[in-house]
Amino acid sequence: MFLEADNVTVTFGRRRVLDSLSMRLQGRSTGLLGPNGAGKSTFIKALMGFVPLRQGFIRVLGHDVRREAMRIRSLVGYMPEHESYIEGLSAVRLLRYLGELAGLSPRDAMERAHESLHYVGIGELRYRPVETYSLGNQQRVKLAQAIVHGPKILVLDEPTNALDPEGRNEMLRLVRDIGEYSGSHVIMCSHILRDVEYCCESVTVLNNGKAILSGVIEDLKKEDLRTYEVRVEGDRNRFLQELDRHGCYITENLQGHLRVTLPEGHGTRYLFEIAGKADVQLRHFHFKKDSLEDIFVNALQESEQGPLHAGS
Amino acid sequence: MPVHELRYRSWEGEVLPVPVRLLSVPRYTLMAVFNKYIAAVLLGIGVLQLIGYGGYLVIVTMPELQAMLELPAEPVGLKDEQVFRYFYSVQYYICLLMVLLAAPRMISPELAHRSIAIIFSRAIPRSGYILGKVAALGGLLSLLTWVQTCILFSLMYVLYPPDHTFHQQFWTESFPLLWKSLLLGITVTLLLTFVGLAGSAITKNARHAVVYLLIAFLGPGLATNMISNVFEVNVPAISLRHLTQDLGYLLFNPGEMLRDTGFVWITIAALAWVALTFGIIFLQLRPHRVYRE
Repeated sequence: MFLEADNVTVTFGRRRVLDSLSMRLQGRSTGLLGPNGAGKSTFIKALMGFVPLRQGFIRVLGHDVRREAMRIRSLVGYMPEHESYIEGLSAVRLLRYLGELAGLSPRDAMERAHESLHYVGIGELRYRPVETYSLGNQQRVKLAQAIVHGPKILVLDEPTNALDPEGRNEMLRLVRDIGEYSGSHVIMCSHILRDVEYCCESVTVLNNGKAILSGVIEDLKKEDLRTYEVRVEGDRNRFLQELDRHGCYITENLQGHLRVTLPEGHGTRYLFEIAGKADVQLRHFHFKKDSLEDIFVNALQESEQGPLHAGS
Repeated sequence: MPVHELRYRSWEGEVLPVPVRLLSVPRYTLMAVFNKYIAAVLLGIGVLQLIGYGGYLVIVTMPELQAMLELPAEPVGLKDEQVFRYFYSVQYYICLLMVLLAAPRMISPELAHRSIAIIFSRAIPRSGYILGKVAALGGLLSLLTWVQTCILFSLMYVLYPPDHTFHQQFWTESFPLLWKSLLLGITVTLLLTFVGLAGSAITKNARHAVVYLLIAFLGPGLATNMISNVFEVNVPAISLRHLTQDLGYLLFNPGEMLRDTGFVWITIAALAWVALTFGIIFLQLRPHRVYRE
C-alpha cells in the first residue's frame, strides 16, 4: 500500500468537497474516476498538502501529509490538468529549472531534462519556447516535467485532455509504460473510462467527496453468475415489485436494461418463476460481465439512489 | 529515436538541500527578464552615472590628464556627501523604470500560465520561492544602487591622493559615508523590490501589473499632496519617493530638514510598506489560490 487515506474531510467554506473519504491504494497504477465535482482534483491537492484537512489523515509512502508535506512532494511528480509553462523558456530549460527545484544538481537536471523530453517524444522541438507548441506537445512537456526528477509516485490529472486521437493514444501508451516498467506508482485522475481501463490495474470511484468503489479492475469485472441483465415485455412495475418481494437487488444500466441480482442460493429458474408471477415476458436475458463503464455507472447509481424499486 | 524504443528510467541520485535548490529561482527569473533586450539596455543606462563619476574622479585626481585635456588647474571640487545624494536621486528613477520593466514579468506570467502550480509541487516552501524572487529583483536593483556606491567609494579610496581629506579623516568623516549610502541604497532596493513583486503578484496580466505599480508609486504622493493643499494641513508624505528622498536628506544633510520628519517616522513607514507588500505577495501565492481551478 503506497497511499492510505482515512476519514479525510476537506471543506471550502461550507461545502464539504471531501466528505469522510477513506481509501487505500496499492499496485502499480490506479485510476481515480468520478464525475465533475466528485473531489478527484481536491484529493490530489490534499495528498500533496496544498489544501488543509479538516479531519482525518493521508499517508503517502508512510509519510503523514500534515507533518511531512515537503517530503511527500519530493516523492511525487505532478502533472496538472491545465497549461503550465514559463513564457520564453524552452522545454529543456523549463525542465532543467524544475529538476533543479526538485533537488537535482544543474548537471543532472540538464541530463534528465533531455532524457525525459526524448522519452515523451519532444526530441527535436525541445529548444523552442513551450508556448509555441501545439496543445498535444504541451501535454507531453507536462508529463516530462512530472517525471524529470524520477518520482516514486506520478500523479496525472486528466492527462489526455485536449489531445487528438493520435496524441491521446501516445500519451496513454507512455502512462502505461511508466506504470508497468518504472517502479513508480501512477495515480491517474480522469473521467474518461477507457483511458483508465487502458492504463490502470485498479480503480477508485469518487462521488460527492466519498470513495464509493475501489478494487482491481479485472476483479471488479468478474462474471457474476447471480446477476442477470434482462429486458421485459409487460408490466415492468409489477415485475419490479415481484423482484423486490423476492429479495432481488435491482439496478438499471445505460440502455435501460434491468440488472437483477438474485438472492444467495437461487438460479435462473427463480428469475423465470418471478417473471411468471408478474406476468411478463423476458425478452433479453444473459449473465452480466461488467465493463468499467458498468462498474462506474452502477457505483454512482448505488451511491446516489440505492437499488431500483417499483415505481422508480 | 521513436518513443516506443525508449523505456522510462527512474532516477536515484543525490538530492541537494532546499537552500541550494532555491538559488535556481533568481537565476531563471533573471533569465526570463533578460529575454527582453530593453532590460539589458536599462541596466547599461544604470551604470552610466557610475562611469561618469568614475571618469570625473580620475580626471580630478590626475593633474597630467587635466593638463592634457586643457582643463582648469583646479576643477570643481567634488563634495563627497553631495556625490552620494545626487547619485541616488538619479538612480532612484532608473530603479523605478527597472521595476516597471522587470517586476511584472516575475510573478504575473507564472500565475497566468500556471507554472507556479508545478513549481510549488516541488519540495520548496512558499517563503523560499518569494525570497528567490526578492533576490532576483533585489539583486538587479542592487546593481543600480548600493553596489555602485561601494564601487564609487572604493574608487575614491584608490584614486584620491593620501593627503586628501578623504584619507586624513577617513574614520571620522569618510567612512560613515559608506554605511550611510549603503543604508540608503538597501532601503531603496528593498522598498522597490517588495512593491514591484507585490504589483506582479496581484494580477495575472503583466500590463495590469505596470498600471498597479504606477498607482503605487504615484498614488500616495498625489493623495498626501492633495490632502495637504485642500485641507491646509501638514500630512507626512508616505510615498516611496518622499521616503527615500527624506532618508537621503537625513543621512547626508543632517542639519537640513525639508519636512517634519525623522528616522522614526521613516522607519515606521518603510517597515509598513515592506510588511504590507510582503503580506500581499504571501497571500496571493497561497496554495489554495494557486491551485484553484
